[in-house]
Amino acid sequence: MVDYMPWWSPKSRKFADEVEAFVDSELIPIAMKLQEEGGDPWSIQWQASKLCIEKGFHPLMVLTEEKYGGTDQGYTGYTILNEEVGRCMLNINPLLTSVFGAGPILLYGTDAQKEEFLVPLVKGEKWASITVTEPDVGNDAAGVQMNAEKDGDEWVLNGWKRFITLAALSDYLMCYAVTDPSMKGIHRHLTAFVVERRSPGITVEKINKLEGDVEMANSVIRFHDVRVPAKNMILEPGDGWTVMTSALNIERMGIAGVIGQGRCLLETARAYAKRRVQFTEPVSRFEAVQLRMAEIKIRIETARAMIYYLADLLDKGEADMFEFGAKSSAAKIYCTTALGEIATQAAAICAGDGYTNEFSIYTTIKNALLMQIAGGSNDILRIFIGRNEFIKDVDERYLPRVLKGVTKEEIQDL
Amino acid sequence: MDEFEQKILKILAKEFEYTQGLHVEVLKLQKLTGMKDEVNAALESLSQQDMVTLYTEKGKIKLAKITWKGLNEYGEVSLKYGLGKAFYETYAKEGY
Repeated sequence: MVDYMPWWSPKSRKFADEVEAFVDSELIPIAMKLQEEGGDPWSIQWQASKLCIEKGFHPLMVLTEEKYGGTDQGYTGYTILNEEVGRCMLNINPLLTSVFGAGPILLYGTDAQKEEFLVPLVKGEKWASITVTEPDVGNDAAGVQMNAEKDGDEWVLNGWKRFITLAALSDYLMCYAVTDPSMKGIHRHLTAFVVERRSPGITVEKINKLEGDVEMANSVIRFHDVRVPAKNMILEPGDGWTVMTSALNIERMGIAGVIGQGRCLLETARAYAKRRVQFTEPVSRFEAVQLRMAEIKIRIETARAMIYYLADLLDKGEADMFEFGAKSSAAKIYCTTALGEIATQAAAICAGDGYTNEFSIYTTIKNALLMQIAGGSNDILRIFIGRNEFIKDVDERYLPRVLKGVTKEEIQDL
Repeated sequence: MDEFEQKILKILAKEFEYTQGLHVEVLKLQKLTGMKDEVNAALESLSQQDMVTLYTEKGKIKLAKITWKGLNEYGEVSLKYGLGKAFYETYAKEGY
């Protein structure tokens, strides 16, 4: 049974039940077969992804309005889907990558752009990738060096992008390029473009081999005089930073998959500890094991509350976008760190058995480490959150007397 | 050992093929066989023959696990789970 959040609408509750049934009946059997017989993670993730599309559970479809082919389940639906799919430990990277790539179109695209790009992406007929990272650009995302120069009705893009998930297979690349270097000081130097991946001048130079169970065709791409029609620009020249940072919120909200993975490890540890007998008792009776289970449970419940609260804020249009960036970053940091800690606790409970690949625990640790650097590394997000706190004015109501200092009343007689 | 005891022993041996370090919950044995008291009686009998070890709480059997003696009685076991379809063929080709 899905553990509904009390504020979920009847529509969200119904959707959660449908997703749960889909995961149980369609995805879990694929995951079980993969564990039993082995298999190629690449083809399995495509099989799972295509099944999601076929049954109407593409995360992009869930986020998109009905008039563009979506089911309009909002961020709550998106979170429910990611959590539920996460619990079967199957990758649906192609789908999530497409969501992250399509994010700017979804948020800021014109009707024409949504018709042209979003509709086929929602149907799963096309795929998109987000391209931010470059050879010299990682945490310093504003330091993008890819260049775009206007030439009539077109822009000409030059540069390199790196660690681009599924780039070699994607139809669209969401690119950020410098259009006015003089505006960098006020973050108005970047512009966002939807680029057809098969455009002349784009070459895939390398596919990186990755750790974990993640098969993502993670690529290095070169852009050499790539011509992009001006109609493919998202918003206006100089809006790229706004587009990028807003779209990253969608990526961060996608982190809900870790709750599902955490739940999977909780059940694994529970089953193991109840059946593993040492010193003549099931190890579940030992406080050392109970304390570890408590740490797992605390993290799952906290992560779940954080993510669904943020989803609700977005759905109700009550998110102050300045504050929301810090909140979604906090959730991303918490959830990805929590997943690593959950997996570590589960590894301690399941001991030697947990180290076999049948338990997926150590793969989860690797995946958690990846999530801690993807979508804005946790370190840079901490700095962002910390700086944000110092931008705000002090709320004097909370201060101890000494920090309030001299008051108006005190100086009345002076 | 009667027929039902043999069935219980087989189930425990099959479980051993999946995980060698874990007991089996008696509730699961009862669900698998559709029997309750008969399962408890069989397990007690198998325990007296040193074919299974039991974990009991407040006099109730909660967990059971096949012993090496029980496995000898059962015969060949195949610990192939999770190694992939072609594992043993590959293993043999490599000369193990």
